[in-house]
Amino acid sequence: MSPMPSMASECFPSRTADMGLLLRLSARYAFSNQNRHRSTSVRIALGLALCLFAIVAVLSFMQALQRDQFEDIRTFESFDLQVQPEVNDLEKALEIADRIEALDSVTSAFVYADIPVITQASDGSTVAGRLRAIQAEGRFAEQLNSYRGNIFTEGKLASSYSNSRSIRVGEEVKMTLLRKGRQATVIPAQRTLEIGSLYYTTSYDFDHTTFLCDLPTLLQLNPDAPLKVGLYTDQKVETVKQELVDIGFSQVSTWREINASLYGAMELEQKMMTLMLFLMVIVVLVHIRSSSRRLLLAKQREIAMLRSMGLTKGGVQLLFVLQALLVAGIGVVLGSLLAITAVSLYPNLSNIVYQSMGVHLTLSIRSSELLILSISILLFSMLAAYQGTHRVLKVDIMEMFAHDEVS
Amino acid sequence: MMKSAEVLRLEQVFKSFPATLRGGPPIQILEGIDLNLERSKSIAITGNSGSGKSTLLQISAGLMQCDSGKIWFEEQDISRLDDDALSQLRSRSMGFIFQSSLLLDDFTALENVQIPAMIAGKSEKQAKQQALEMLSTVGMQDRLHHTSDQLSGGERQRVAIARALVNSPTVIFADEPTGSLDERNASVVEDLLFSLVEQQQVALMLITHNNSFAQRCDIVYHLHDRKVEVSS
Repeated sequence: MSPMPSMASECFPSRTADMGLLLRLSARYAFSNQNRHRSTSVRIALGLALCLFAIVAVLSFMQALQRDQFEDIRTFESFDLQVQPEVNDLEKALEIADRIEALDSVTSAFVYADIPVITQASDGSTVAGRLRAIQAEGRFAEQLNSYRGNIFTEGKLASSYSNSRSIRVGEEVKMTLLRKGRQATVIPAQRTLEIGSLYYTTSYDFDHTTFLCDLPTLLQLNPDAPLKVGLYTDQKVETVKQELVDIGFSQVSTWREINASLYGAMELEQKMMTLMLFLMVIVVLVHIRSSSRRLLLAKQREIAMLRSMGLTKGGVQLLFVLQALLVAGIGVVLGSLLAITAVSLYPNLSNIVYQSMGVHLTLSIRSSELLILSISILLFSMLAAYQGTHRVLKVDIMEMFAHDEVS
Repeated sequence: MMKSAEVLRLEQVFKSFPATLRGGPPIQILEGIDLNLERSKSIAITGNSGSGKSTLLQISAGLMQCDSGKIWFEEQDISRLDDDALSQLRSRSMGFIFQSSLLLDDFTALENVQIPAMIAGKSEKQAKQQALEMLSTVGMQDRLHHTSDQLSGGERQRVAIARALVNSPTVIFADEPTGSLDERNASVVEDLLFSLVEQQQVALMLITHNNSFAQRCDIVYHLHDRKVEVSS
């Protein structure tokens, strides 16, 4: 008998199984009550939802903490940028600050100086930190909260509320002036100064180590104190730095450069945390993979029936990919909703966090991260279903009928 | 050449299975099988357990590959068809009835009959209409919305018959369709199957142990010692 040309393609129009039918089958299979797969699907969806929620919530909280810390650093510690004038003269430094403040990209510029000090209270307790002198206006001063007294009173120091147990208003403290980079060189000697006020900020580290005064007071204590111009900007710090360099300031540093090690450590911390969270996702995805395989193996008989009814291999694969997408999709939607709800309800709980951590955080969800996570979960679920079905479909239809034997 | 009346023809079909999962000398199941089935005719394959009857049916329907030989179905060598073409052929020209009345557990009787029609490309409405008609023909019009576990063995087999016939196939492959039924139900299913096959002019390939059931077919083949011989 001579081989005849395949007429199948001529007899039957090319078609794929109706998507509506596949969706209907996949929805029924995903939450099959008859095959007791509903609980497995519900477990997978809930597991994904909780995993996504946990990752998004932790990332959001961590980013808020970092933002808060960076905000404190930029506001109190190092400002957005610092300019080191060529000459160490207050009048000239004030002129430079005015020139810089006149730039459109700069919100405010001010003269300040930090010198390292060791302060000894009357009870003998000491604080190793710094004395900061600064112009008494602008964003820095606005962020300071006065607890008692006027913060910038000539000839007096402002101590922080966090040190108020050992250093009280009206008390005199012995201050040893140090020089940066040298071995505790006393310049000129210990001085006694009165604490005129108490302040506090949102940065505990800053408060704990910083005494404040006005510029004339500091220059009386140490006329050689290196003056700097600090500035705030709403624009990108690198752009403003370039602008300052272009107009002739050679020693300009951004807050990132000044706090490079801290910034690097926090970046690394965030990366490690993200990595750990992704490992958590992988554990969940592996669980999905094995659940998906178990589910497919249990469905072998039904797959065989569908194949004997004429459903193509591609149709079967699409059916179970759709099923996996449906379950994972429900998990992703549920997880996203949980995360969004938790973040939007967070302001009601922020007092509890403030009491335990001392910070007021503003939580937000980065839509790009949520999107990447959601897409990863959906893709992996699809892949697991595709692979599992591919494996099952390698077997002959009749072998899939578990009960069937050569009779 | 395949005669115009023939719908299925097997030529020199050989099939063996490995002795163990690890291999070993294969066990020959079918040896040089020649067999043909004409349109609107019925054939029965009988034989002892393990003789290879079901294997022969599965190979004839393209559910299993043979080692060598040719299987002509509606003038096409189905061993040369790719999976999509074979699936389409199964969908439009073949109907299956298995021993344990395999129904899709998650679906009702109506849906079980409707789904193959939809796979064959019919709209949901058309498929539902055809399924309703077929279920009514097999006397299941009152059990449309019952799932597999809510039906008796005989009822499940009647749904399986409706499902096999819903796309007006050319051939019905029935593997021990009454094997798991009691005598009364078996008789009902037998009568129903033959009356529908005759009424719809469908060819039937029947695998059975039951001689009286087999005798109702036009030709009875007996599978013995890996070969078939016409027994009546």
